[in-house]
Amino acid sequence: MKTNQSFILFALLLVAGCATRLENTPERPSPYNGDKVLFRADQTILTSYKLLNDFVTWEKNFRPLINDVKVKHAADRVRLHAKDWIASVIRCRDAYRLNPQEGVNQDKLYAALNVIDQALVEALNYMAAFTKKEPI
Amino acid sequence: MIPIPLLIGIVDLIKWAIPEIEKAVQSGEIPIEQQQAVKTAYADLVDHLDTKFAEPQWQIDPDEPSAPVNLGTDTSTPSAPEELPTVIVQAPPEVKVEVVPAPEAPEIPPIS
Repeated sequence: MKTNQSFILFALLLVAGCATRLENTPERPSPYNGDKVLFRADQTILTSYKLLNDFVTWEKNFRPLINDVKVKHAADRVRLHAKDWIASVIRCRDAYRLNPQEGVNQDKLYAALNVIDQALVEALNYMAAFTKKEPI
Repeated sequence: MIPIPLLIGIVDLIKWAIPEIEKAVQSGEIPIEQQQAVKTAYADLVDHLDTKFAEPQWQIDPDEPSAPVNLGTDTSTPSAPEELPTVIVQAPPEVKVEVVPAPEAPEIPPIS
């Protein structure tokens, strides 16, 4: 749960601390030189790794309680392919960084990110579905 | 035990946070410090990708058998059951089909 909490803190800081613009300025140089696509790619790669890692950890830790082969097989698909998905996004991200004009490289980067997005949606749906909701 | 309320909160918060992050990126309002943190964390992930995916939670375990397996030391052949279980076969309820006559077609007057 520590990793989840650190992610939440990270997300909240990101959302709440919107004081400085992404654009590069001499006073406050931006590591991304104002490139939103590159920032979004790095952000998505990081958060998706973290969430997929949380999903497979959750499935492994609570497998006897979850007791559903569909969830295990979904987690196994992630275990089998996640490294390739992320490596693919990293390759597309590097290609975009070298040639950042809108076009093929950007499209390929978005396509690779979409593959991970779909896996994330499935993972989050399973985590939500197998969590008993109690009245507050 | 699964800390249920905490897990619900985390899942809901993540679902809420992702579009919020997206909006913040689209509007260009990302703190420089955050950008630096992302860049550093990204470089760390890339450097240690093989190590991270070698962690135990990423290993595929074989599926559990559906019935529990006796792992004891008794290797004797199990004896056949003395009596087969009784299976009661119930006849399906009778289905009555009523044939309704088709309505008569209206008479077409001859063409004069």
